[in-house]
Amino acid sequence: MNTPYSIIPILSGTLLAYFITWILSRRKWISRNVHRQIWNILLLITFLFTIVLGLLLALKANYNLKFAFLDEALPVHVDFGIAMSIIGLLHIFWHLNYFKRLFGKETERKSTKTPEEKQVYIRKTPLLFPFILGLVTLTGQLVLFRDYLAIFGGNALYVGILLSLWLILTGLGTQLARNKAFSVTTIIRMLLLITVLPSVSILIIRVTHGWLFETGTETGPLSFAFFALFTLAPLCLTGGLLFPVLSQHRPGETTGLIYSWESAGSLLSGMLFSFVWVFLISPIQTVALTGIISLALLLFLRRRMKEIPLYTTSAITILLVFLFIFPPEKLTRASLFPGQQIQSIIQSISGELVITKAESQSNVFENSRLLYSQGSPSAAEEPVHYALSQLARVNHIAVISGALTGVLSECLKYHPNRIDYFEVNGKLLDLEKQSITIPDDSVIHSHRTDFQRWIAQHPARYDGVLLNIPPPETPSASRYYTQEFFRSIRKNLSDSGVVAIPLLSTANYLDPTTVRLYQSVVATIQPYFKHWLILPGNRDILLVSNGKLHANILTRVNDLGIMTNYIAYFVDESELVTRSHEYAEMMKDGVPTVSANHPIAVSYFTGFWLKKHGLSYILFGTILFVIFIFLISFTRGISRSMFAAGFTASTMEIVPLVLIQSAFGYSYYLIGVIFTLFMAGLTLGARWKIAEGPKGNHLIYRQHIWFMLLLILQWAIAGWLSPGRTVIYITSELLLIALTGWLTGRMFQLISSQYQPQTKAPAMVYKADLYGSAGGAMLVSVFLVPLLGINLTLIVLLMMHLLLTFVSKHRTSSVST
Amino acid sequence: MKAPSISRRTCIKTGLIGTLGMAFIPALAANDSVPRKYQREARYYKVTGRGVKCTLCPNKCNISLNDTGDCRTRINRDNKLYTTAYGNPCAIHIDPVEKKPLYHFLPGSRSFSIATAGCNLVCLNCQNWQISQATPAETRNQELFPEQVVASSIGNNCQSIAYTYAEPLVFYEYTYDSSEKAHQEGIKNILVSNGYVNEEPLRKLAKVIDAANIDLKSFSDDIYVRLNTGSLEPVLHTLKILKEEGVWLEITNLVIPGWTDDMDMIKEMCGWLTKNGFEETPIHFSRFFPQYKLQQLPATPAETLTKARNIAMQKGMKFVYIGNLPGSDASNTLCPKCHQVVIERKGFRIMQNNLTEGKCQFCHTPVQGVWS
Repeated sequence: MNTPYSIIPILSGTLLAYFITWILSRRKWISRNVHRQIWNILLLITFLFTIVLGLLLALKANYNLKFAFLDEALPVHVDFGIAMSIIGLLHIFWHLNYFKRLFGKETERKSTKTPEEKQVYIRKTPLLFPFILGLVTLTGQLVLFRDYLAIFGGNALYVGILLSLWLILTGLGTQLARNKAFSVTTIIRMLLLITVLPSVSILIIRVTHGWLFETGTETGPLSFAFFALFTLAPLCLTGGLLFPVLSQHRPGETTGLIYSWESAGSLLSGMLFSFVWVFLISPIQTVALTGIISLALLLFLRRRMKEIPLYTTSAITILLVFLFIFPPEKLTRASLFPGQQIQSIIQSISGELVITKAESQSNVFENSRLLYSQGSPSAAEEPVHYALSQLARVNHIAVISGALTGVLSECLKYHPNRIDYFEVNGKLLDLEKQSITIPDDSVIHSHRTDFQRWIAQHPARYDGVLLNIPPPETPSASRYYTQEFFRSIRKNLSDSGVVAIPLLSTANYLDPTTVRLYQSVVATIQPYFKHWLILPGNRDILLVSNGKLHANILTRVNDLGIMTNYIAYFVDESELVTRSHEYAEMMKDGVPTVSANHPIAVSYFTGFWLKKHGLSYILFGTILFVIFIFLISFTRGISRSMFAAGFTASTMEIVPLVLIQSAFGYSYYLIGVIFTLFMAGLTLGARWKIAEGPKGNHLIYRQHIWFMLLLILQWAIAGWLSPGRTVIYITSELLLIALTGWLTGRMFQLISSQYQPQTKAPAMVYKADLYGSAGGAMLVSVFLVPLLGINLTLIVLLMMHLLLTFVSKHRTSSVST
Repeated sequence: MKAPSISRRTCIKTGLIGTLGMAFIPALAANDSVPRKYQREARYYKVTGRGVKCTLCPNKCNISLNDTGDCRTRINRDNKLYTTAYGNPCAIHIDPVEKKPLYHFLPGSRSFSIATAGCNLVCLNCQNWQISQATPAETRNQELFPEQVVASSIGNNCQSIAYTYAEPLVFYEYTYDSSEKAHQEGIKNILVSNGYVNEEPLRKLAKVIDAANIDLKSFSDDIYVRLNTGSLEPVLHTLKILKEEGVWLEITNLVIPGWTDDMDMIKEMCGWLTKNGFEETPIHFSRFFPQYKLQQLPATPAETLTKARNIAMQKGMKFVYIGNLPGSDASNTLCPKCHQVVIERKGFRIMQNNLTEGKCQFCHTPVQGVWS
């Protein structure tokens, strides 16, 4: 961005989008009302952003508010203002006649009745339509999410933002279908559109990212949300719109039936993506292939439905086949890696690995963040020599990740009998072997597995355990900072064995948030180890041991006769000693400790990260809370019960994910299983025959009680979690997830059958489900669990469900049942 | 008497407003004044109809009542400008002088290094963003007034005091007073700065500064705006003034892939330096590692740094170094005449020193610098 404000990209983007929806309405693919509603919603969104940010900026100017994020907010405010002005001008053109009349130039008012408003014969559409909808939207969601995270180097916060935006935008899409009737031809056109939208969206995201953001910069949450909002909107709004429209075209049947077919489509795509496609084909190929399958289904249906256009469908299929055969992966990624040649792009369990070459230097990026650049000895030398120089003799070493830095060659300088190297990411391990950063030495044993799982099954007596792990930015990363880990590693360490744990990069100053994180980690290790020492480095390193620890590293390394490139010449021993004492003085007792059930380190790290982008936890939490209240206010009457169900269901998916990540590390395969089970439960629940019994509200209340019981059950299972009960624990969690899905599907069926007027049921109930899920996703993953821990979070969720049940009780009476 | 009832809607509304209000508390608290003992009236400002105008740096902030300037350290109180960064450093360390980096100034000596919060630029790659992008009220500070700074540097056997890490020009008064007192005690002063300052304060400060390392971040105004929120011209002016004032000067240029690694720009920069009489000024091409918001870039390749060094030497720069690259021999000082190694460095260590009274031991050519 060479200019402070993106006038040209916003102008051209808005006009292009307007032109597309206008053409669609002219071609009768969507009604004129839908076209206008889309732009009304966009006008509302841009207006709200502009005024809220404008107000905050005004408060900043008048009252010296020091929210650092407001420095970033000015261009966003102006950019939204530009978008609002353009959309506002387009609105003026709609109402030109009104203004002409206002200024005395009367013109004859045209009939505003659109063909859609006239009586439309409702013809049944096949149940494969909602199936296609589920198939395309869910694949789109999974691929786009991974792509966003790969581009923006996303953390747990970004996942929460994405999930919430997706659900909210889809909910808004359902709003567009209110009081509208759509012809079969229009529906088919919308389905055709949605088959290509994921492919178009992925290309737009990759290309526009390079235009809009500065080279190599980490994007703040505000800019990220802004970008995701606009790039997700086409797919989500169309997907949201289609669901109630398809329900209308199955008169006399329950919405639950449509819901179950849509869920079945999602189930299939979730399984295919998680277990097959992600390992075999690229992201662009995945969305193209889903589009091709959907179009093939449409062509199959053409025997019964002649409205499906042969030529258009075939043309789109050919286009997608072309995209599948020649996916422009490197071309569209190039702007992310300026001045570098992309050598390979690897989809791995932890995200996207990209290997680049700049001059003769190899670089490895994981989700666009630099993992390693050749010729950086400090990353290898500091953890190894800080830890191993403490010992007179080193026999057995465990190294967890980071071979690319050259850490194993440094370990070999201590002549150990055995080095166990652990890398859970198979693709990364292959890369390390290819790049010879795992030396060809018989003492080195590589293991493609998780270290914590390994030591649970293969007890050992390590002299040194060197962790090369990311900071505790996610529950998965935070598991190496927990009581459970320290308890287990203590048993596998020799009497004076040392563990080296990397902390944050603090340069010349330790800020209060970082101090709290360090205090918490130190408090966590103290029950298991007598001695600890924090040494400054490129990343500060925490050493823990039951033997004495020393800060005079340089002397010790020299005494051992070990040659180094970095430690010997760049490390100042007196500075190491002084600063390690300073760190020690800052630590204190009585602070919260990190555990699998309470990954408090994640909240400290998130606070640190938010601070970098000018936000604070309190402000961020408040924004989430306000959005949550807004979402509730958009639901009415009985549908609020669906909001509560969606809310609890999404939290019941997220809580086990967090727990499993905290306890077992990467849960990539389990995510697929969790999702599949939830969708299977949902499909069954939506089709499950509801027995005759208590009428109306009573049945709904009964479901609410079940939801609350599930939360209590989750609480009991979470408390029961221990490494010795892995199988029982995971089985219980999976069962619970399937039950939650089943209960949600049932609730959907129940509420949509009682909602009055019935014509609005699909839109209103589906919307409430989505908004509730969005609320749960937002609050739990990034806010409640890291801050409160699992147990307290579940109690809060129980209270919230109870409150939502209470709120929906009063409103139900206003809706005739 | 019946208690006034409150509807659920009112309850929700009140709760919402209250919650929003709570979110603003930290923002208001961020303006909490720094204790008065750490405040001094600023030396460079003018009272205007809109408040005060700070004249310390080219940002020339117009600061209204109770507001702070862009640097976050200067506050308008009763239409007087106060610095809130005086005697309250948040970072205090003892560093080798080579870490600043200064290669031609008391090699092998130790420098008592201090910084307070605040900076007049916002660099996307700032290594010290936790202090540079904060106010003195937000950082954990220690009390160390100028007399104590000098006493501590003597007590720690340091030959110099370095005003560094964040931006010493935004704690100008503290830097100046400490430097003045240091001179009285025979301690030298080092300024490690972005050079973004106006002429009058700089000339005054230069009288008490012995050496400076100025970060010439790029040679493009556009990059200065986008990467650092500053501009190029004032920095070039600073280089000229420091040279005129007789301050020992070294220049650092951080080579960031995709931003400042354009060899044509480096050629232009070195051309300007030699044309303006800086050919004997040491220049350090420093290796970039991802920092602050520039997280999605690789480290600078060694070849890029070597290319930059070769260009600088071709353009006539006599002392060109490469920094942050362990194992490189481009940190040695070579005699400009006989090209023998006069100072051999590895990292921050001096491995051999072949200078006698500032002259090459091999050919007796004087080498520019402050050697004792």
